[in-house]
Amino acid sequence: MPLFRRYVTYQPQSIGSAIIPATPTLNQQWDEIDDSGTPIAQWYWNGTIWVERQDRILNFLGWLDHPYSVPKITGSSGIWIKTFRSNTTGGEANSPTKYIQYRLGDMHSANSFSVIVLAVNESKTPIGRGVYETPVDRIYPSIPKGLNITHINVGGSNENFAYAGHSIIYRCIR
Amino acid sequence: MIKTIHDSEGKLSGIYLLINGIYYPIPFDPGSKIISFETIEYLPTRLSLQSAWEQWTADKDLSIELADIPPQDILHNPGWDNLQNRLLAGDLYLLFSRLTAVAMQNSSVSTAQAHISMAILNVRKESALAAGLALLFIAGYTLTNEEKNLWNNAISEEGFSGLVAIP
Repeated sequence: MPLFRRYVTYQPQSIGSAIIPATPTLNQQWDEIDDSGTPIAQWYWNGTIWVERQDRILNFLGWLDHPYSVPKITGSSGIWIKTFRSNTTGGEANSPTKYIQYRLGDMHSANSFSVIVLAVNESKTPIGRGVYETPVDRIYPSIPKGLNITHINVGGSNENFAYAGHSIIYRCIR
Repeated sequence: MIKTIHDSEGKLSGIYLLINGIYYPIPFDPGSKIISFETIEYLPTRLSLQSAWEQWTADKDLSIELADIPPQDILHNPGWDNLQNRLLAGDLYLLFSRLTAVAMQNSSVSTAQAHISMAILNVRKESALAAGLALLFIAGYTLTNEEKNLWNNAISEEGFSGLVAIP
């Protein structure tokens, strides 16, 4: 029996340029270079903004409520936060009513009184490591300077929140 | 689809528009309530956001979609259960146990503690909790800075207003 394979004809048609393309088309790729021709960044046009072609990861420590800023690359103005992920140890008696709630927040002023909660992971698995991932899918035109993780014990879980780790998966944009 | 953000007074402070699975902020000035796409310098982004916005608003009444909301709608349901859990078995337990220890020796503090407990367990009104806290200060009970931070962080996280914050 003959074997048919269908190829999607795909020509990247990447633009190499130091200046931002004026009329991008959907999925257009742009290799940004500096004035001497050295590559700086790789973007694609998603129809609305230029998005970096690879994911980035920012890790948060589980036991700190301190603000984090997000590393960006030269030329980018902001970020697209894709998902919020938590890796927890679980608690012996964790259940749908007894769990630790981990919150990704944007502490956008100097004090922690005004926190916008972006996403929440709830560690409800009784024991053993659990990985929880929640979509955020939000564009920040400029870099958020006060992302933080806070936690709340709901129902009296004995999970040790200090042993949890958290990360966001994001891409730079411009 | 849009997501709106309101500040603690209920005023609209941000608008996000969903395009292909991603929420984009719409350039909106909360003070003047004016949306001005001209603030986006890069033309292709401006045109894309503007046309998506016009498409979305075509059959909408913006005075409803972008209305302010009364503050009590935001604060109508702070996390009383969570606050109770945190006091009895969470990060606020230290604060609660020290207060209880002092209350056993001091009747004014004990009265204040009873008011606070009733406010959290039964009455569930911020004004009642604020009154209980006031009694606590009148009784001369002082919180350490660490306890104040714990409390203030907790009530802010649970959606309480500044009424029950400890200065």
